[in-house]
Amino acid sequence: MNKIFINVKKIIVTSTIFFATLSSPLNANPKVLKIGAIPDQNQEVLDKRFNLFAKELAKSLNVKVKYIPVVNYIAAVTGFRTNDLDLVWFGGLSGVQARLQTPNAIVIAQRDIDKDFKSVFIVNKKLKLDSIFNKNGLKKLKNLRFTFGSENSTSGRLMPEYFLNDAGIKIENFKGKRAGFSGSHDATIALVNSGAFDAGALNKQVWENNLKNNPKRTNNVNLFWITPDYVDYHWVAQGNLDNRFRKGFTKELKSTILNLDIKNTEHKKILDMFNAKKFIEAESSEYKNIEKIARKLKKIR
Amino acid sequence: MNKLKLNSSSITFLPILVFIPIAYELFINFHIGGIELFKEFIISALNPKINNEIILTLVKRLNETIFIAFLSWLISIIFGVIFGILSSEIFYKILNLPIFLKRFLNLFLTFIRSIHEIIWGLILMQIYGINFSIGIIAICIPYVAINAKVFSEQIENINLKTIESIKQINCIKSSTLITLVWAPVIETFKNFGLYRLECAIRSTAVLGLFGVGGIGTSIFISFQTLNFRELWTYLWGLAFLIIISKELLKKFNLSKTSKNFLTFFVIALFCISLFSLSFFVYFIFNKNAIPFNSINNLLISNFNFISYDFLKLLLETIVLCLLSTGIAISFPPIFILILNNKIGITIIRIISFLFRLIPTPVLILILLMFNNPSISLAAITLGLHNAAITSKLLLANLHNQDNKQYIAMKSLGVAKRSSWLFGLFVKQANSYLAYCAYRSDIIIRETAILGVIGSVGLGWQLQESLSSFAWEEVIVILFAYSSIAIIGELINGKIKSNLT
Repeated sequence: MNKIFINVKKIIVTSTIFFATLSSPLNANPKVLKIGAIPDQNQEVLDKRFNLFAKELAKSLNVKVKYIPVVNYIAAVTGFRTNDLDLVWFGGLSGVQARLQTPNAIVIAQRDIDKDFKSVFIVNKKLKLDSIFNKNGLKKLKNLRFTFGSENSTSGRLMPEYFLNDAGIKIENFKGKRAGFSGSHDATIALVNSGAFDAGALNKQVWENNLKNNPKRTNNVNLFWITPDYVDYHWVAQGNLDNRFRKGFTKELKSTILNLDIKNTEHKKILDMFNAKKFIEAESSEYKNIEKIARKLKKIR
Repeated sequence: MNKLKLNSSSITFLPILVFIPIAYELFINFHIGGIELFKEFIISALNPKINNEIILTLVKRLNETIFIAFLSWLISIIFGVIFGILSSEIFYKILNLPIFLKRFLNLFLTFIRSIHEIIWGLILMQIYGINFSIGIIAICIPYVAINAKVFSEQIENINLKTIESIKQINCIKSSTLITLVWAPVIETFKNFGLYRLECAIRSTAVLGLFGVGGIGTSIFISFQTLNFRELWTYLWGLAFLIIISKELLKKFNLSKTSKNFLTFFVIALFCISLFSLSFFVYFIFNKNAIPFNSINNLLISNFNFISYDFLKLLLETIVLCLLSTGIAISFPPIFILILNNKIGITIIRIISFLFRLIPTPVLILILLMFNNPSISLAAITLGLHNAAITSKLLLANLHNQDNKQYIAMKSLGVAKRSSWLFGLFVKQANSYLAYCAYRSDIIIRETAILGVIGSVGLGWQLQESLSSFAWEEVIVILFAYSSIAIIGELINGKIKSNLT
């Protein structure tokens, strides 16, 4: 009996040393293009979308591409700053934060829909609130349980809060003097649908997708208001990719993304997952307004 | 009716009074909005999602968790022993070193200990990015300091006369030290060190919620997308891991080992400590060039923070600590007293296992389905989680205790509950309270995690500051946290020394 225990102990000790050696950072491979994304939707959706995208990039750029899921917006920004991620699908706010913290970062592209992106406000049906036609109607949300998406989401927090403030509503006017942070757009729908929160704000794209594909999830929710448009999501890449991979790599990367064609069946799958018809050129100057609003709301200091 | 006397057993029941304000606030904020979600959550517990894909992910995540937890546990025990010896008086007495070194070391350890591993994780993640090693280092930092404290307390118990008599024989100083320290270190390792593995697994799970990796990440992601069936697959996986690791370690019997194995063991320990040190150094210096510069850039921003709001948050955090400590102390004995039969105790065991299993951030999210965020909600969450831990200890101690008095009282016709109270519990009250004092140290640190999710106190501000990358605010908050924790530790130290 005693012998068996000794073996168990030996196995434990040797395997520890073994694993410790294996996990050493010395084994890291610098020739892999690591892509990431802010976790704004269900992880399954993101996994499918970005694994497909990674495969396409690997095929046309002839390098290894790996999608690394991250758990929150801050982690995406940090991962980009610390060079753990090379190419990241950021929202408006997180992209600006990441670029401010990472000198030489390059804006690669955005979707056709990102130039005039919108958020929606939704309410639980039990409240019997009619939808409104301008921002002043937002006052009806006073004293309700209200939830945003993630803290650093542009369409789930920053812009909705901006429009609320514009209509004269502060976070303190909601029930409990606070707003909730559901963490993602899908969660906002589920929480409002279940009645755990009375109202919430989210990305219009995700809302429409849910209406179409999961009508059950939106049974108890009414659309309350659609916001005016603003710029949102964009691809941001590290500035040192040419040095690390080969000359002109960033250019190739950009044209691969811009040349995704909806007529090609493989490409169509990817574009459909991004809810876009194509990717278009983007400039960092387009995001100046987002930065201004973020500074006003103290999300960028 | 006797007057209520303030002795240790009545003190364990008194804190139940905190439940009055908590219940009141919970009652006003109650709503049934989340009942559908909650139903789904409960049903999913019995019907977790099982298919090839998820089992593969589960195994992978569990491997990551085991790796992080086991390695950090081992490293923290090894360095805990080393620092424990270094911070005990005996070491300085034997080697004739100046005692101020010890005070300096103690101060340093108290500071590291005062900040929860989650916060270390969040900060390290800001500097070094998303990385496995973050999890290990984040857990090791406070764990080394906590283990060092426990080990040094046990080493201090060595009789000073023994030292004198060993000194008389003039043997080599280092071997004197090892001979003296060996027995208490091994004893503490058996009683306390093995239990720390369970803590390390739990800490790894909670760290995962903040993106370090392992099972926690999956738990959090599936919860956030309200995918309850998947959530329960991961939770049961975690439960399985905790139970297995406990059973395995129970068999790990140090006293019956052969000499051969002992040499092997010592060599392995030495290798691991050497490796972890070199790894740590490599880690710090390999990556520091870029991030430290960018952190410097980040530090240039306006700073107007210490204000009325900050004081309010500080107060909220302290109130949260007091309320949840009250619950953690008083709930277990009261429930055991009320449900004092076999079925009742089994129910308590199962419920407390569940409360220990579900990480507090997930627990508060579940409670948020029925309540608006408030201090009471955070307090009840934290209190219940810790009550589950204290109740486990209390039940184990009661079980091991000699129950002659209880049986005698019962056969004399004293009511079952009174005989439990005066025959069994009274003897445990002192040690139970002492353990609760130690537990409240941990509660203070845990308020950080709850604040982050339940939007109360300093934890909430920490999250907000971190997500806006406002470093000065983060530093001020950490300072505030650490001072609350240090003051708490001082008070608890006094309480403990009064009890024993």
